Amino acid sequence: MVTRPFLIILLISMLLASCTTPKPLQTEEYHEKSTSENNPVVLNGLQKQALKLMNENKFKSSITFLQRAIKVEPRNPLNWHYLAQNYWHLKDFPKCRAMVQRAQSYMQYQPDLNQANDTLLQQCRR
Amino acid sequence: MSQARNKKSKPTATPQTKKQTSRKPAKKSTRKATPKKASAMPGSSSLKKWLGIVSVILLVGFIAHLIYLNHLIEKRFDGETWARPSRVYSRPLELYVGLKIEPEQLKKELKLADYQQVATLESSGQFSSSRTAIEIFSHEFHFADHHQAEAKVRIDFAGTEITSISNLPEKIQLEFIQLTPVLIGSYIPGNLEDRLVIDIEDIPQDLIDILLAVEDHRFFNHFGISPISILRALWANILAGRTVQGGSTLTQQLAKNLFLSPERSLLRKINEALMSIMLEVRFEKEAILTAYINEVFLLQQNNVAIHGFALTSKMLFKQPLKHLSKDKLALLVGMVKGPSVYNPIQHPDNALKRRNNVLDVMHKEGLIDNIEVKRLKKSPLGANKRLPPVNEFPAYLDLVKKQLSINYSSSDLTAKGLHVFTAFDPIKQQQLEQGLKNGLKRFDNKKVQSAVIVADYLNGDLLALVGDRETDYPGFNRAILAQRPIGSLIKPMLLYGLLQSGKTLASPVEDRAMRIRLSNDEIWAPQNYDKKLHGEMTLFDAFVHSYNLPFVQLGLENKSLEILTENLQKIHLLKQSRIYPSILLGATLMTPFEVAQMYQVIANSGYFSPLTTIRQVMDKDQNILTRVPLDSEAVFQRAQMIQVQRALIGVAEQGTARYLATRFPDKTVAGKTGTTNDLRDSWFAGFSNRYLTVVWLGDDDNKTINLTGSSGALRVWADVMNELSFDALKLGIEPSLEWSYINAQTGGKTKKNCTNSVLLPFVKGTQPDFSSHCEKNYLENGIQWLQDLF
Repeated sequence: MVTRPFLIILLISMLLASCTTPKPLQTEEYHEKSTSENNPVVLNGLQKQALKLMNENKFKSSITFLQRAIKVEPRNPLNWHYLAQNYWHLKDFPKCRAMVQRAQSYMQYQPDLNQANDTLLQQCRR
Repeated sequence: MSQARNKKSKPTATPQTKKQTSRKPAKKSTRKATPKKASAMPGSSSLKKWLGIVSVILLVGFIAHLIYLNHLIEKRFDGETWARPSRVYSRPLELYVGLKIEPEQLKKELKLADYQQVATLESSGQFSSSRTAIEIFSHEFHFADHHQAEAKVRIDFAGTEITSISNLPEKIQLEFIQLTPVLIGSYIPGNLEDRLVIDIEDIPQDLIDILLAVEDHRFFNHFGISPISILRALWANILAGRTVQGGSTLTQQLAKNLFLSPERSLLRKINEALMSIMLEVRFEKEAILTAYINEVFLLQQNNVAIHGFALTSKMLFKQPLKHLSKDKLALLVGMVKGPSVYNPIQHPDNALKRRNNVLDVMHKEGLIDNIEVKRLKKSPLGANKRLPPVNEFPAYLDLVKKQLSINYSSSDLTAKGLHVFTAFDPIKQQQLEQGLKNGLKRFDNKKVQSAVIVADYLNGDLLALVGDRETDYPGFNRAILAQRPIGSLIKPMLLYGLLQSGKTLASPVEDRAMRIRLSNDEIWAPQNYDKKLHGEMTLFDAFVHSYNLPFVQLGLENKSLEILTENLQKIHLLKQSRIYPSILLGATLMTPFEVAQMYQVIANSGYFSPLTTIRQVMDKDQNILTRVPLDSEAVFQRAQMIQVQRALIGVAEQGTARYLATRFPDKTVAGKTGTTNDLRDSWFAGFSNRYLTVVWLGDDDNKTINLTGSSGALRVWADVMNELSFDALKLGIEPSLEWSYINAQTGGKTKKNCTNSVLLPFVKGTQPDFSSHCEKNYLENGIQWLQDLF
């Protein structure tokens, strides 16, 4: 019977302690949950505009739009992939490679984009 | 005036050439006449001869003087009439559906960009707000890649998130808009004159009408000087017994302002008259009028003279000239008579009287009717209570100038009217300044100086910066100039080198005393900050507690010192030619900016993006001169850098920066403290999911400030980050890494709930091959259980 008040006191002190002690992190909390926030504005707006400019061979302007997209969604691998494409068109192969590498660093279960990145990286190495 | 507007404003040299040639025969006839007269009257021939010679000399001298004056006019008008200061702009704020921004923040940004809050939108440069929406009538603006016309838009909010953007009045949904960037400063020419040069099309007709009514109503009828006006003024002055009226035309005033000194002398008056006539001969009336409107001095702001109506309008009313009402235009025109006496900020009563006098003149000249003059006289002056500072963010502008100086000369910056678009974030700057202010209140020593840098490490944008505890002080910029030893801030780079050469975070290290004989035979005996020895531990543990001895020992083994110097070279941060072992403890000098560059590459998993302020530069005609594209170079291995990041999280969770775990219990951050000998420098460099912030505290006289990295800079860092409102750091996913629970003391594998258990990343195949005994921590487990429950 002596243990009962002891247990109650222990429980209360643990409850109080839990309010003051910072919560230790879990495994998954260290990781990025998603590499792309998929913000529709980037996909529908800035990326689309950048692609349009790239198709019109206005690569420098296209890059400016993609930089704006990166400011909104810096971890979206598509933004970096399209940047790499522009640099490939501009024949700036070191930059093309660097941008593909950034795209690759944000990849997560996107096999199509992965393949496109690999192909582009090979082309940038020429 | 409408007739004048149809005339060409481009100056032409033809009339002048004609006049010069027509004068030549007159000179010849004088010379020929002299000998004839001499032969007719021999007695006075000698005198007449001399008079003739003197006349010729005077005439030649006069012509030479005219040529000189003409040269002055040509020099001024044929090139750039005025040195145009370059303007520096912030980043344009990108608004889109889903963006999290507090409506109050948006309002702050709009006010910084000279928008005025009104009840109903009437003209550009205004905004109105309700509980859930902000309506904006945006300015017209030339961005580097597009021109944005004036537009009305409505931004709807749900809490702090934008839920829709639509244009008005059509209410068509928009995907995103860019707000006009904030003008954050100008590079003023050496003559300390600032102005916004405008063309005739941008001058409102009302301003011209009022100006001519008050200053020179015969402007379109005289030839530079007005004898009638001079006689009238003379008569008025004789009657009054003192100078009550001037007879100068606008052209004379322009000639005086542009070419002559303000002294009152006959010679200056003659030159003024001559130059006025020459100006009228050479240029159209409307070109002269435009020049006058751009030239006239109207305001003084500290040591900078504000010239021209356009900039004065912005400074006094935060509105473009074309949007000013008649009463405000009347005030500006009234100020021409005495910019100091009628300054509406310093002498509002004088200014009000003068404005009302101008309104009377306007009424007399038929520019406004009886009712309007009464109404306008009742309106307040409407000027700002104080002038906006020329350069509100001196430290940032200083860095912009430094980075611009690579491609542009000083005279380019102060004379060519460049438009410089930067990465500057005015909201972040205000938050940084507030955070610093809060942080510095903690310390009694008011001599503690500071420098803080905030950057977006994912793209290299340098967002905000201060270089003095007084954030608007334009003096010594410590953020880019103060070269200070960095102490333990070097350790992440050293740790990276160790991981590169095969160590893991669980590798065993020993914290034991050591004496090292240096090349000059001196003995170096490094110590830990607490002057204690801590025995065996893991590399992770040694790092998070910032123990010096294990790092010196490891640094001297193999080629660690060489690897460290190579790595510093890769990011252009090695300045010493001779490397001493003390570099292992941060005995190397860096500025806060350079520290930020080092931590940018760490936070960005090994991708180096030069921290930059400049994104684009355009010339005065909106042509792009420079683009600074986003740069990203993989200089370090990503897998190893993610391990360094994990160790830096450890510093913030359980190491020298564990204060952060209590300050931000729900947000993971990473960072490193730095302290130098005798507590002279206190550093903290840390990052969240997006922002990298570096704080330095120290004394300009290199005296102790009695603050460690933990007790000084770390606290300020937390105060700054608290203002910035950041997201928790998430480490990148790297396929070559696998994660295991490790006993931080022994380095053996363990389980989640065991004592000293930490979750660490390892390159596949490098995990420890032994397990540590699991000592259950029942109290901690119980707390954990309760926390999970709640």
